[in-house]
Amino acid sequence: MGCDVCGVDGVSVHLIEVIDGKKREVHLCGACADQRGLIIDPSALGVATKLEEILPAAVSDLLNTIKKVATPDLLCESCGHTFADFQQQNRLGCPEDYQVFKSILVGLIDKIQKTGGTPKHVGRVSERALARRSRQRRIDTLRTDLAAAIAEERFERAAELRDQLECLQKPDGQGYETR
Amino acid sequence: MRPADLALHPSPWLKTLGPCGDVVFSTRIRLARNVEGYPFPARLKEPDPRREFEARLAGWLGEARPAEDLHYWNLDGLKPIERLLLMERHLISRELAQGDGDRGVCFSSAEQISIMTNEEDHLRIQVIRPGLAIDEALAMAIEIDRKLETRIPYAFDDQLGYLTACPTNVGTGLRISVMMHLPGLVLGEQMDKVFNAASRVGLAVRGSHGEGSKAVGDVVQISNQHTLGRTEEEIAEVVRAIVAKIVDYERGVRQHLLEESRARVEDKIWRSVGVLRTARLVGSEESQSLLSAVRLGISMKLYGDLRIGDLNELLVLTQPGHLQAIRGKEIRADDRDAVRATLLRERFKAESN
Repeated sequence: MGCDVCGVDGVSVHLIEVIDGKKREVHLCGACADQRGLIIDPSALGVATKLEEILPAAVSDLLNTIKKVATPDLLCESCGHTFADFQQQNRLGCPEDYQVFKSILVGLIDKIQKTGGTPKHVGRVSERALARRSRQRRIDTLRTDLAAAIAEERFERAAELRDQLECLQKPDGQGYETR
Repeated sequence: MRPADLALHPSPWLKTLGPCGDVVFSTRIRLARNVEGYPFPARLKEPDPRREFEARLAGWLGEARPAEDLHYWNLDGLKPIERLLLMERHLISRELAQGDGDRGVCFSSAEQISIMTNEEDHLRIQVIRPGLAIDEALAMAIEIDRKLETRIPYAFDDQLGYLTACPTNVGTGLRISVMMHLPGLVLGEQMDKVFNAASRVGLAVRGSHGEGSKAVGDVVQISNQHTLGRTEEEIAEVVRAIVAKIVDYERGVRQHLLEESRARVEDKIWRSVGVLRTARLVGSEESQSLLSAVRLGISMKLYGDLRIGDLNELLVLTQPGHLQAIRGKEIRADDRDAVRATLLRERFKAESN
């Protein structure tokens, strides 16, 4: 049997959910279960009362994420690609898919790329992303200053800051042509 | 000029013997890049959105001028022979050659830079250098990437890096492929050393046209499989170290063969020369393996009428696309073997000793 999330053989966690008499099963491999916090430390099981408190919330949270994640009809609205399309073709539909399917893709990418648990890009960074980061930092600073100016009732200064903020937050303030 | 005219002249860099040229044909760097806000090529609907987007990419390439002397071709407007020709020269991938719809390539007349459009990803930047030259090729590719980025809004995620159609390329989008000639290791039945050394550090060993292609004529391609969680330099370092090790193995085996089984090696090389001089029909794979033996002979100084660069050229010129493009028409596979044999007889007769 294959893991419902990544398809790898060797399932070690089985979840069964019954809602209104409808039964749904989710089978996960050790890595995917662990990533979702499903591998419970056996020492925690010793304290029965605590388990009662923790488990229902944990399990329903989990089932929610898995339901959202493992649903083949999870859809990217920008390109119309579903998660099932990805599983079938091994290709994503558009760059936006990485956001839409992120919770599930991250685990898969970690396996494919052997990144040891957390995939994190450490190579070159696109100039545009660098610009985006520095713009975000400037926005954050301006917001703090604006709040301070308002608190100190320096309204002329606040108006200036607000104008600068608005200018920065325009979508095409990055030196690229608009599409 | 049409791409078919290229067939008359092999890629200019082929004749140059690069670093470790006795064992390494070439180093290829590929960067996969995509444009924010557009579906990946496979999902760009034919014909209009795909056509418009291809035109937009071509326009950006023209504006960004990432290198001197680049010419753009839409593959849809090329003849099948021309596509095959570009693939045999490694200017385009097999996927681009065999795909359909609007897709393109622009490459320099030196044929060391090529940029594919609407392949699996929107853009595939490629740099080829003769011999083992990872650093130089990588630096050139990054330079081109920087220039393209002045015009093109790349899809990039802070956690996952450059976003690609297939998660196997995400992150750096970098593939380093080193094409190696390993007749000594094949003859000495020690290719498992290569597979073991490569797989231990997560590198792939494939045939000369990448995934799924066969290793013909003792040629293999070593490339990185992982593109995320390592810097470009770290990826380069792993490939460089393993390739250097394989170069040493191969040279060691060649030396050993020369000392221990000289007659056997000489016999193999001269039989190959004999066939190349006299045969009337030579198939594509057969010619690759005969030429491979002669290339080995030259590096071992057992055969001196041609140089390694000449053999590099012949290995490309005798492929089906080139034979047909030289003749200017499609030739059936059977007839191709005769055309190939004639070409080879001429080359091997001319410098007869």
